[in-house]
Amino acid sequence: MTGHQIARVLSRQAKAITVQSASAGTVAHHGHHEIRDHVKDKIGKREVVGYGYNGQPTYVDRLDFPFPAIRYKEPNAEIQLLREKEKGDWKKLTTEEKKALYRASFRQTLAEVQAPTGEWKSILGVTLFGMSVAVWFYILMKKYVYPPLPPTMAPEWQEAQLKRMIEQRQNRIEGLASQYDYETQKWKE
Amino acid sequence: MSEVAKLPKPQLRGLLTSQIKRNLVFGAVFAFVVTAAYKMNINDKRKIKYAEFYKNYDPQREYEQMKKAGIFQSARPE
Repeated sequence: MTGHQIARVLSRQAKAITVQSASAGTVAHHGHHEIRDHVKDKIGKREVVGYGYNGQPTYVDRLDFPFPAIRYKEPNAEIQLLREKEKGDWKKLTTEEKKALYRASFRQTLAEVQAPTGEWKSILGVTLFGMSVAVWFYILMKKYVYPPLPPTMAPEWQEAQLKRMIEQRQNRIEGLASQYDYETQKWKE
Repeated sequence: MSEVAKLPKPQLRGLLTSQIKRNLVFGAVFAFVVTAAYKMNINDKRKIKYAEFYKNYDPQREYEQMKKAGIFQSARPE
């Protein structure tokens, strides 16, 4: 790593826990061309509050990593006031203020994340619909595409085939012909 | 906090070794039982079936019946 690159990485880490500037996206440089950070472009004024699950400043509600890298909402005047109050004793915050602070930083509570969505109903419905479309395709194929069945599929042919198999004593100990009683010329069992 | 019954202390050392030993025993027993069941119900049963079939088997009679049915190309019925 060159000295340039090391300095860039260190200055990037120092910026990680500060409020984003209004000129979203560009990173300060040492005279080279401007590189856009495509993820940072999209988060607007949202505050970066941590490393997140992969280092990108994204917001995701995840049960296995419940600490998103950025706050959910952009800051406004009321929230800034509450942040000052938040620096003091939390017992002095009302429940409404605590909820407002939570909702500014998070989209859903963990209980809301885990709550059932009923999505399975639409999944099941679309799946069944897709299966019925497949059945329609089969009907159309059978009617218009497939050639006729060969003569060996006719019932008379199949019966004659079975008769021949029995006469040849095929599998006469454990299989087909073992189920046939040759004395009475009838099927056993 | 209300008291609930205390759990027995779990094994904290040498767990992998003891688990391996236990699993070896289970595996050996299971393999033995499955093999025995397979031998009895499938292998021996098949042998019995064959023995039963050939106890009173008359190949000549069978041949005449098959010839009469007309399935042989080189031994046609009269």
